[in-house]
Amino acid sequence: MNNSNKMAAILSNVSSSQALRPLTDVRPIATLPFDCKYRLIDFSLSSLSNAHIDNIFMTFNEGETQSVFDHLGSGAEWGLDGFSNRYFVYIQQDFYRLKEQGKPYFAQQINFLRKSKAPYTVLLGSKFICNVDLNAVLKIHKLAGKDITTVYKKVSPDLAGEYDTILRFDEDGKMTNSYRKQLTEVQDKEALCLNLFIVNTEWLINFIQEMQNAGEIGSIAHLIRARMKDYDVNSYEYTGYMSNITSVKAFYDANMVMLDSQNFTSLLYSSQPVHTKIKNEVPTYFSQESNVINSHLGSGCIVQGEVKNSLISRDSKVLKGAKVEESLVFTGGKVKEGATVKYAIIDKNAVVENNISIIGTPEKPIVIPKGTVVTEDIIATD
Amino acid sequence: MGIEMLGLILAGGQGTRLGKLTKDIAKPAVPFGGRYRIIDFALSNCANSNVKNVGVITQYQPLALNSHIGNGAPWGLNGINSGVTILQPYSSQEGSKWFEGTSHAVYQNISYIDQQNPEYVLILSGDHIYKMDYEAMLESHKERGASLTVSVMEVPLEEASRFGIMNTDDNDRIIEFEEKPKEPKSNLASMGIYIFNWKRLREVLVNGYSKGNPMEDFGGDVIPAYIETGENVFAYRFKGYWKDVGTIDSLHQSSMEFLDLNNELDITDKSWRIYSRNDISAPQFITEKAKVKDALIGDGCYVDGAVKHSILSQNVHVQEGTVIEDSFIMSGTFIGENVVIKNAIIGENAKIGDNVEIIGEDEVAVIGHGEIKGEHKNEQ
Repeated sequence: MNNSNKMAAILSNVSSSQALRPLTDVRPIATLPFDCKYRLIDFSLSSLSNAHIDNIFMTFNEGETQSVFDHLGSGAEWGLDGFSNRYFVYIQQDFYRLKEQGKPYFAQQINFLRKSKAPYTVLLGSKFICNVDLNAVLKIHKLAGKDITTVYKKVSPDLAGEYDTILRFDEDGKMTNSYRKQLTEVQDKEALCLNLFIVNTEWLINFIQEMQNAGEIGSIAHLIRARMKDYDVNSYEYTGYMSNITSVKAFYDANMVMLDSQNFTSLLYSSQPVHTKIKNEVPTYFSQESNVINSHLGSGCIVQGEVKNSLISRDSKVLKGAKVEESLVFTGGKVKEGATVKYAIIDKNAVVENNISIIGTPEKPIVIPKGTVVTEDIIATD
Repeated sequence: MGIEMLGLILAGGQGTRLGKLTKDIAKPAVPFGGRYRIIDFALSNCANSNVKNVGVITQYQPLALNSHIGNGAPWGLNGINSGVTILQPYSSQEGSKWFEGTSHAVYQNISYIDQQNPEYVLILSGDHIYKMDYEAMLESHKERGASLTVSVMEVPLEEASRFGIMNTDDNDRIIEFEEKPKEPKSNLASMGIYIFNWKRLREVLVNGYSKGNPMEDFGGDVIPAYIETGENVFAYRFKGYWKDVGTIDSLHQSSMEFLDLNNELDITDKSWRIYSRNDISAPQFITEKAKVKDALIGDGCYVDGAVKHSILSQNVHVQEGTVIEDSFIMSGTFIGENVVIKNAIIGENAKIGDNVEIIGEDEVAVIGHGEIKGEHKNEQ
């Protein structure tokens, strides 16, 4: 077998954000639900699987892996359960502990890279929702002949979080980078780094060893961003759909814009399919008295009430006389008879009791945490 | 040491009564209920009843069936001590092993069954819609020391002459079997579900064929032979939803019954799930102009028209101005603008152009798999 185009991947899921609470109280950003049936990590994993990358080293924070294993299972949905296909899940804090003990804390990553026998490695996270063709990036990477290629998208700067990386290019094409909050002068469009890189594996191994010798901290994407200016970095502009999940509001908006069929088609019906966990649900039932317009629904739902401009995840119920508008209902959510839900996010298995109203605002959607039973009205005052 | 009970699903029916819908696919592979194929019910019943070793006996148009069943993973039948094997007719030195009937098909697969070495064999049809606990039936079979147990259900007496009718004594021992009797003596109809002690059945089949008394069908030959020789043959009574969907009318009727949330089949019961192969598709998109009432809609559907009292399977595309009523639309179908579909079954991946009318009046209208009707102005 010719391995000259083979890629391995290091998928880092250690970013966290206070601004996403309470949604991230029970799960990492990677397993946040998206558009009725996906999780954010599906987009990274699908990009990898569409490029036939089947050796993946994932890192998560301590205590955040339960929903990850529940979602990944055998990895079959992303082609990770084959004969030579492998995924590994590591805990970020273990690297810190090894470092404290003065041990070679990157040894497992280096070992993984050597064993993968892949000349190229993809480094990525899962907080950006996008559908990148990694084979196309690899072509550009090989053409440029540099050690590192980073992927960016030109966006309005307010889409970037404080610590997201902005790339700038001088007249000679030389790239520099800085955090969004370090920019003194902001342009209309900035090149937002999608924390996505293709690098030469040999270079990466050397780099990791160098970092380890210098006692630097254990997040590769972080190290590269901090040190990118020291290297000659090639870049690839991604022009497809992208969302940056920085806050509850950004997360809510990223979901709601899927109701624009152009975004929906661009993200989910491109030549690169997005894979997610398979569930055995029955088709969704719409009763005689139901009234559903401009909405997405997963399978296994029962709809007897009204649903408007909303995304209803798998296995949810909207009972008689209930109204759900401009809202997200996660898997197993239940909006009972006569209840009203507007500008809200009903997390997994939460229940809105009969005749209760939950009304937020477009700027501040109300989040009902996972499994909560709401028995009193919650209405935003402003 | 063999397994306790081997499931054998007879999935070989040509299904000519389903017309266009079985032109290219075997009857058990015909889609049902929005995301299932008919055989999913028998397979899921096996998985849920701890019958983890299953042979699927097939002979006509097996491609869709084979690719659907694969390694059995969707039903959890791909473990270390479980498995699904697809058994097809083949040519051997003794000649071609084409199947002449239900029990002949089992006879032709004796070497496979011997390999599994089961105590009991469970014989099933691949074309019935129902939920049943075969483990409970096996318990009853063992308790009564039966040699053969036949699952039966009560049917209206006026319809009994369409079925194989079992006449029993007070202990539910079958003393007479009549295939489609003109004047039925009882209303206990065979469901085509049997549990046999394998050793005995093997003897009966091998002896029959070696003596030149062919044992082609369970109903026509084997069961009467069992009763004649005084074997312990018992009826096992089943209550619940059961439907043979072998005709267009029964498939349509059963689909419409499936739409009813209070259907006795209770498809949403999580303790007895019906499993099926899952395709990847996006969530369903119900647009601003859509009107969906009393309908089951599968993943990946895009609905811009009106859907009433109908089932849309996965990835069905319905454009503006179109009305669908009392119909079952199979997966991957594209339906253009201002189309009217009533009382119809539309096959997989069919393409219905703009302004087409497909209306079943007295009979259900049928469009075949991949059939194209009319033209679509934005056809790519």
